[in-house]
Amino acid sequence: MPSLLATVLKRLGWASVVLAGLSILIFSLVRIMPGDPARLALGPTAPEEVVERYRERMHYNEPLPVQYYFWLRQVLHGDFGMSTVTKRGVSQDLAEFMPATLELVIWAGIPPLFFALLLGVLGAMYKNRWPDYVIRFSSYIIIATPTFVWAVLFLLIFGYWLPVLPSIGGRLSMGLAVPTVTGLMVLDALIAGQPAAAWDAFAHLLLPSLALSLGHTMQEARLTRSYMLENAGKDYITMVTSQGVPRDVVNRKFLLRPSIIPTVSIMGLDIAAIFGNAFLVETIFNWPGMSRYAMNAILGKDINAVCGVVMVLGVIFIMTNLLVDVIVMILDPRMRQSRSK
Amino acid sequence: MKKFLAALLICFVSFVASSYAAHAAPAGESFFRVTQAIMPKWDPAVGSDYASGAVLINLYDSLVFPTPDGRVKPWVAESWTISQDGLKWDFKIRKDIVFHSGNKLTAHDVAYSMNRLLGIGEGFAFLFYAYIDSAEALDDYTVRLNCKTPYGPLLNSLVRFYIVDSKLLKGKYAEGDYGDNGDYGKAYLLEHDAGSGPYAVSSVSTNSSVEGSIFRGYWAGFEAKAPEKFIFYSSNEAVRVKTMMSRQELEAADHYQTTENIQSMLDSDPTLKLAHNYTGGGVNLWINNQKAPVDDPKVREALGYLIDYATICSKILPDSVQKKSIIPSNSLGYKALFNFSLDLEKARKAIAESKYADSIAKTPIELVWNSESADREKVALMIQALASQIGLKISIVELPWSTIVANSAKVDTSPMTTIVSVTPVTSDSGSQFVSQLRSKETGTWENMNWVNDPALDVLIDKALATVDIDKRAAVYGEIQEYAAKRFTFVPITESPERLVYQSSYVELAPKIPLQGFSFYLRDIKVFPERRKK
Repeated sequence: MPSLLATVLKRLGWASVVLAGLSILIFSLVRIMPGDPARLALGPTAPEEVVERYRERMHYNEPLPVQYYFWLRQVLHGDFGMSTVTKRGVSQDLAEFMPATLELVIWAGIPPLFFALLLGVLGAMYKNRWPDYVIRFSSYIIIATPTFVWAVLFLLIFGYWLPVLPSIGGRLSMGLAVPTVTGLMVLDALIAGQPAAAWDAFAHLLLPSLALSLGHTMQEARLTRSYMLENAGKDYITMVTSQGVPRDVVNRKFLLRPSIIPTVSIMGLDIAAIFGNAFLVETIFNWPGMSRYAMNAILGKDINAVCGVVMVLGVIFIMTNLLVDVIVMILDPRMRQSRSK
Repeated sequence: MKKFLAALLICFVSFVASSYAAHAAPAGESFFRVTQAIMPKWDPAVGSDYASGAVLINLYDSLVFPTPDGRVKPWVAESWTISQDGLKWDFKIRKDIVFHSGNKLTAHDVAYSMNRLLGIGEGFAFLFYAYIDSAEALDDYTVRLNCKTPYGPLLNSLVRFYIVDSKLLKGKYAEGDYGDNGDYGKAYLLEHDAGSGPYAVSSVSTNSSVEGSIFRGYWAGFEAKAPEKFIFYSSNEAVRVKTMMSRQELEAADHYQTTENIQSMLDSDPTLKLAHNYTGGGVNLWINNQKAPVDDPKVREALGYLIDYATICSKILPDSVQKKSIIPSNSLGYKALFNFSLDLEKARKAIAESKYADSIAKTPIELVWNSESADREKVALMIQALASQIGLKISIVELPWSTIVANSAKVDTSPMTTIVSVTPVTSDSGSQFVSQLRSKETGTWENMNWVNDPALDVLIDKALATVDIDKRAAVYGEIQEYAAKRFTFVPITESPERLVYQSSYVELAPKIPLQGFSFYLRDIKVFPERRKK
């Protein structure tokens, strides 16, 4: 365990360096994009005098490093500045929109956890038989289809042709309200003792989360299948099988555990990818989350908002991968040993 | 495994059944729900885009109100007088108006609203910033606007000046950039309104929607069947809009929907109909008058003959009409002076008479279109194809709107030609001449023409200083003639707002031909009892 703690601390140290680099990169990229941020913030018709006053107030006339200094000084005080799109503090925006995206990503992360492993194991167990063929064929189609296409298809199927799920967007139907506790609507509704609202929130989540998770689920299923098959041919499996250990025990205890380690590692990366794909899915479903907020910020060249979102995503990405590494180290003793050396 | 799958299927079916019940449209409720391209801003000193304009007219009152014929009528102001020198405008205010807060609307609120607008400088401030020095309340019901210079179009511009509740706002100041005025109540107005208009904000979902309900104490009253509640959604993704319209979760779709999506909605549901509002919006070919070879009026004239107006008006931008002046036909002093038609011979002749006759075939003319408006590409491709028939090279460039706006700042970076859509915010032509032609205002997306003609500036300034409306209209005519002779730019179409709406239970017939007024809720009728779904 001490080796685990040391690894975590070391990784956190590196994380701060990565975040510093990320902040410089994103700040520079956003700033050099074409378009005058002051003009975009105040609108094309704002008098030039007012726009110039705004430029000065926001330090847009200063050299890039000076602008970065002012921005960083604010951020270190926990203030990401004002959003020029929503006209509110970016921190306030993130606090409001982050839970919606988080809830979406959590629900999008559940199917891969269960179905990727289930389908992967099924594919391996029925190798080159019809269940395997069905899983493989469908996975090719699902992985090759972009997430936003699934989003549009689901909206058409379950919103337009079979109007059974919400198409209106948002997190709750009109007239329903849930007191905010965690910001996760389904959970908050359950805490408030409103099962109907929880069900409604879940109905709103179903299509966007499914659209987000489909591709990842099938990708991870294929990965699990491959590692299952690879490990199945190894000597130690032959040995335990020859010793008369029942087949299901071999599969569960000796084959599945080492086979899911690479899948778990990939899941960490996939969480970040889900945040990325959420940009389009949130727009299509009018989901009031951070990704849609970021999309509007990018189009409006809202420097503070874009930097704020990227920094938060950077932290999430780093923390998720750290968590995944810890899980992998717990699952695989060899990893613990190699890290401690 | 089979049992598990069966259980899963049963769960899904019951979920679907219960969801269907839960999401059926609320019966009997008088809603008007519509999509917009962006989130509106209903602080009158901040919002000025289409979505904001549509919300502002419902939440606030203005001194004067636009009429269908492009003029104005008394509204909050019962009457007004103008000083001899045209610098002082005194307005008598109605005494029976109350804000949503219950506070009485007085001249002090009007003066405060104008000073606040000028102090913040955003929103529709651009209509007043250069002309109005300050506002003062002479007594509780008389307000004076002090002008820096005589300003003829002031009355028409005042339809975009919205009066806020000063007592309420002053109590809501937070820390901000405006000295003693803190943030001028900007933060408060992100979640509330401070108006006296026919509707009041009831709830806001930041970046997603704004909801409001009818203000029963509205001084001008309501006709029967005006909607009780409204929702403006800030996202207009095509598939979602089509889906929501089919489920009667929207009463109308925004006018930014593509021609294809509008047709698809109309084809799929016969109860959906199309309403039109000719707000003067239209498509123009902006031309950088300072860049060779389009600095030659003959080349600019040739471009006017290389556009197939009939096809654009019937196929690409349906229901449009050819625009025949630099201002729309509903503007004060309009004169139809551009009589272009597709005519390759006239185009060839104009090129032959230009100073670039020998060299122009070697120099491609840059034609920029906004990548966020797919229809513009079709227009660009059409011009390119027709130009090639007379040996003229057109180089099409697709640019995002933010880049077009950025490039318009300087004459060197402004493209040779750009297809741009403009909708005037007032019906007086003065503000259009200023924003599109006057030298002082060059360097914006609206004024990429870089005409830089002192004689034209003199004419525009003369018109602005003419308070008498008929005399001003005559000068507007002179400006149009002057610009038309020089082909400062090529007007292409006047296109209406095309709005798909639920004709089975909604009456949507826009009366005021001004941007945003298609959604003036007092003019809309909703019959929830007729809603079937």
